[in-house]
Amino acid sequence: MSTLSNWRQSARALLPGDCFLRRDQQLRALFVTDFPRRHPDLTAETLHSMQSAGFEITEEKGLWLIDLCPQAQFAFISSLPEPRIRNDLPLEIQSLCRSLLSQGITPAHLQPWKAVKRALLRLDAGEEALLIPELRAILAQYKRQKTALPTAIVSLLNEEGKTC
Amino acid sequence: MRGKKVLLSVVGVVQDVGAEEASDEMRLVTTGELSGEKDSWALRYIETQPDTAETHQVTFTMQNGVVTMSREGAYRTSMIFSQGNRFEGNYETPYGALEMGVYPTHVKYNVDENDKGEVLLKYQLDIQGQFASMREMRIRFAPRRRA
Repeated sequence: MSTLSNWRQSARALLPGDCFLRRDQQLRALFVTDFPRRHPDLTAETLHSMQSAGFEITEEKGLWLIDLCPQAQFAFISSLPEPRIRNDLPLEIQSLCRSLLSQGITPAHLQPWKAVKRALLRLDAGEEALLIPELRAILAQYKRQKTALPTAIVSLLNEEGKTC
Repeated sequence: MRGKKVLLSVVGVVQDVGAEEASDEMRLVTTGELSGEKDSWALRYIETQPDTAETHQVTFTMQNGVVTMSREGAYRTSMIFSQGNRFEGNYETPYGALEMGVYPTHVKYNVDENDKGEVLLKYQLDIQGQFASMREMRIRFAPRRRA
């Protein structure tokens, strides 16, 4: 079961009653749910339990956008295997990994979660073909702005390569 | 493939991030040779280093929306400009090779029926994994008229 599926299961278990819970296709957060629209009387209590479980909730137009809190982001990134370049992956992915690691491995607490999250969502949706050109543009921007590079994505791509 | 003498101007601009004006600009007017047809062209000229007077042949090839630049000599370089696609290569210097990355944001070229044309490249340059500069290169060329 994928990482995203595990988190989805955990979030699902904390949402009492009928509602949808799906991957956020707009990549704003990990998941989106209409729980607050359907169960407004339970939102306060459910919000508290979600936050206690390590989720961060943002409300937008009556929907909840569910993401990981910073502590959970750090724990997840720290749990990933050390990133390395696998030479059995396609060349364009090797090149991307080389670029990601060109400034060394970024400490977990400095990794830009927005980019890591994008990779998680795209890979979970089987959208690697969309992810690769997006990452090229993101990397160019991060280097230009001297933002720490999301080296955790190399570990995610390596894991994806194992299952292909 | 025909080869035609052309007069060309090369303008190279280097811009630091956040700067309102270019931090460095290079201009060159020289003669070269254009060969090719339809959507497959090669433009060659000799570049002279202002400080050492060394000359290097520079070749631009243009095909299928992709521009390739190669420079011979002590500072041998080869770069492929394909919009949205990162290119990695080595920048050779007399003191060793540097890892170079190019991320083109704009790649355009055209050659009209009179062999007059332009190449426009805008790209981000990284050296040894670190951002170096935003660059723009514009080459305009036209058939050379004999006096």
